[in-house]
Amino acid sequence: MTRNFRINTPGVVHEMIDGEVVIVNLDTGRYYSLDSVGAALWGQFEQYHSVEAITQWVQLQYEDATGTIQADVETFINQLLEDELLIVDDELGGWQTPDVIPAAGVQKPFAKPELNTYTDMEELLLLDPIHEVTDEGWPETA
Amino acid sequence: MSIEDRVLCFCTRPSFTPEYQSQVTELCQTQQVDWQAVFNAAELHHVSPLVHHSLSQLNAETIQLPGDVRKQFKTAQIHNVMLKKGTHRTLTQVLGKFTQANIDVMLVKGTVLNLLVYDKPWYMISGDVDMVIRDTEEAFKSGPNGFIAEEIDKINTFRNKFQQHMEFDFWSHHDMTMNGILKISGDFLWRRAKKIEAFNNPVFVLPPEELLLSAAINACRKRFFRLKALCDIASIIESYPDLDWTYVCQMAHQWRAHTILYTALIMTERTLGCTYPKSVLKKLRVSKLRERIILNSIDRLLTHSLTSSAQWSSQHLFGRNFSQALKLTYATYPFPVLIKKLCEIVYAWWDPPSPILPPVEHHIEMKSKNPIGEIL
Repeated sequence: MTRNFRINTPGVVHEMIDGEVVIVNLDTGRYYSLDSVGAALWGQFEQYHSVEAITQWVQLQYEDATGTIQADVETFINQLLEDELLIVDDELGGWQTPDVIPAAGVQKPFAKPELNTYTDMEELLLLDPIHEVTDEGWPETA
Repeated sequence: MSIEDRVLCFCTRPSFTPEYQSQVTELCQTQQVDWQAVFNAAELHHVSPLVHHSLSQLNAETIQLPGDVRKQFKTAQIHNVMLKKGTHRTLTQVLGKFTQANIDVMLVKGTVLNLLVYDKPWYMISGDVDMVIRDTEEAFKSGPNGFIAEEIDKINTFRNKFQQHMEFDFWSHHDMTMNGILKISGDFLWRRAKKIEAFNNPVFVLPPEELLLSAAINACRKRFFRLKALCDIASIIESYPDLDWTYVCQMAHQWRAHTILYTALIMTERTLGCTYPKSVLKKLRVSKLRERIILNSIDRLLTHSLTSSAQWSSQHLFGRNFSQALKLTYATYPFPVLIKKLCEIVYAWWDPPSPILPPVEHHIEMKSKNPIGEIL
């Protein structure tokens, strides 16, 4: 059965900067960066929600010289799921065929996507006392 | 200026145009650039993400940017984005609570520039979040929302550990008035402020003319030598081509900040470049003597390297360190304030304060009270 997933918003926020994606998981306090293939892949998660669709998109865009695209994409997506940057959401639409097909001969060389993880600011992101304030407002005085 | 200084200044310009890109490429092809020094200086001047963005538009091989320095720039950029995302969430939460409690808040300094001026706030470092609450400190603390001050204090104490200050002030901001040195009325600022929607909440912001004056005052607080502060000025001028300069000059006089604005404009023009009507300097009516002192100080300051700590090195006088940058800053102070400041320095030298005693119980008590009065 095809597993559907999506970016774990609103806890996960991201920004594309100069071809690189910076992702912050506000719920775990970790932040990440992706470049080249990883950044391009992340950009597709808004549109494609299954390993099959993403793999097909990658195979259209990149030259599979080593024949590892499928395995590498699966490993990458599993890592994103493990770090709760993506979450499984079966309510999403199922298979969607990538429609952007590059002209023949313009496929780029594929490189295994790498997720760089940073944990140095977990405390700042997680423990800010403002997060303790409830939806009702500031805590009442005793 | 050294080649590193020139590269740094070009890359800190708000618009890194193709013309500047070619100039940097040309510089790097004709001379050897110490890129590590450029990165260190960019960090010192709080502009490393912006410089990284500018450099990323050039061919790394042509400019001979070493991989390890590139990585340092990249890491600084990633760190900055993370901080901004985190701050965005915290600020949204804080402002939401103020909205619930019906308290008007004005965003000032870097926070408001990120909102209104910078197209790409991700490239701008702003460690602090500065806000002004529309109330006096006494009324706020003794009113029904007084307990919020303690909550804010908790947030500040926590964030200060990470150098991510969230500063609240009442009615007007102490950085804008330079702790009372400048004649800036909170009533006036609130009358001029406009309500907008930001961070999912209504907030007040100042119009561009006051933003410019505030940025010039901030540059003065950074001794006119932090490129980030000068970049703020250049960016405001570039973002608002219809600035009412006559009004800016009038207000600068009213606030007693005309010499500060004069110096800030010249420093920005000489380091990063910025275009403003030449009549502005005349309209600021800086006295000939002071003008000469300021221009002389700027010349001397710019003979130091931006990429070294030379500008912070100083002469000792009356037990104080007097750097060139500090001399320039003092040269812009209103005359009575300058005299008062110098008297304080001489007095402190003549009769030094007693050494601070080690912390005892009393100190713990003070700590628990927290510097609310100072921060809030």
